[in-house]
Amino acid sequence: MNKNAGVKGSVKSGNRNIYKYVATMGMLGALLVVVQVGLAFLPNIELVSLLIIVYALVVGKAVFAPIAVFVLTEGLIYGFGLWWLNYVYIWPLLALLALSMRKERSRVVWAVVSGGFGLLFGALCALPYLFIGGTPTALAYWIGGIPFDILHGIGNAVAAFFLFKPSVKAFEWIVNRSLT
Amino acid sequence: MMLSQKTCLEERHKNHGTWFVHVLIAICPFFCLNASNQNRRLLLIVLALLVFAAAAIFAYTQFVKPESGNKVLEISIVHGDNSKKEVKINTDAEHLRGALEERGLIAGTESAYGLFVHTVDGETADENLQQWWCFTKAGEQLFTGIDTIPVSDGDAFEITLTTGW
Repeated sequence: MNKNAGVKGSVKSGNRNIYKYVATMGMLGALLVVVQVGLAFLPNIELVSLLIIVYALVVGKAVFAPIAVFVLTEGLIYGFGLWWLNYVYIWPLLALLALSMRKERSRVVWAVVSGGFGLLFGALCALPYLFIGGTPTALAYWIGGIPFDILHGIGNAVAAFFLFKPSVKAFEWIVNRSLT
Repeated sequence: MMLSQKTCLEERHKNHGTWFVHVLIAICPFFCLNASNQNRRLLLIVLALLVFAAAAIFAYTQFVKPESGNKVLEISIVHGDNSKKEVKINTDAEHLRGALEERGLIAGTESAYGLFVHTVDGETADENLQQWWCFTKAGEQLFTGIDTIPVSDGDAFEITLTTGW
């Protein structure tokens, strides 16, 4: 039995009720902001990566709607600096990766994916500096943040390993209830 | 039928010389276990990530080395009214924060990423006006907190009150 059948159906039926759909996506986006701000006091320990993976598995391509809410709200809170440009492509990239592995339900696999994403976060953020200041600037940016990337990778892997399954269950229930 | 680890590798590589088989047996004992292709792929990805992490740590320890001993630093502070103040600091501190704090040049609030500088040389950035203190080294913007910026003898830093995020 396809575990996602109900959720997929719900998202389709959401097209008939655009208000429920918009509200649900808005709330999912707001939750991303809440967990980011709530855990901002911990250096590079975050649940945004895990939630984006879970959203992608639960709502499919609609994951880009809560990501848009999250990225825009982050810009409004912290200002639209160069870091914001990183958010514009990094989170959708993670969503695309998760969508490409949508049938995967192993928490070990997602711990590796999320941990790897955290580890590569600094390198991905360094990309704009390649165009602004060239390779030396991008390398300086990446190398300077390596301790934070290591911490980010470990934090993401641990979070996904322990929270992936309960999160998927919870969000499948929430999204089903919201859209039906 | 499941082949033993050694037999399996020898079957696969019988035409490539025995040394290759022995190396593989030594470094990858899991290859002939009853692991699925997906598990093998996962293990390879984990190994690749570990290698990447090790390379990253190596790069960090090689390129971000603090220098011990006495150093002379040149600090240039550009205030909101565009007035410029040059300060020479003689310090044993290994990071920029320590050197600036020794002279009482900075103040701010502690965060998970180190000190978030609000005040430099007595002038406080007004967040309502989107003001912030921009740290540069010989004109190049710095990307990490001042707690982790190593200093070397003769380094020149600029601290400029900047408006707009």
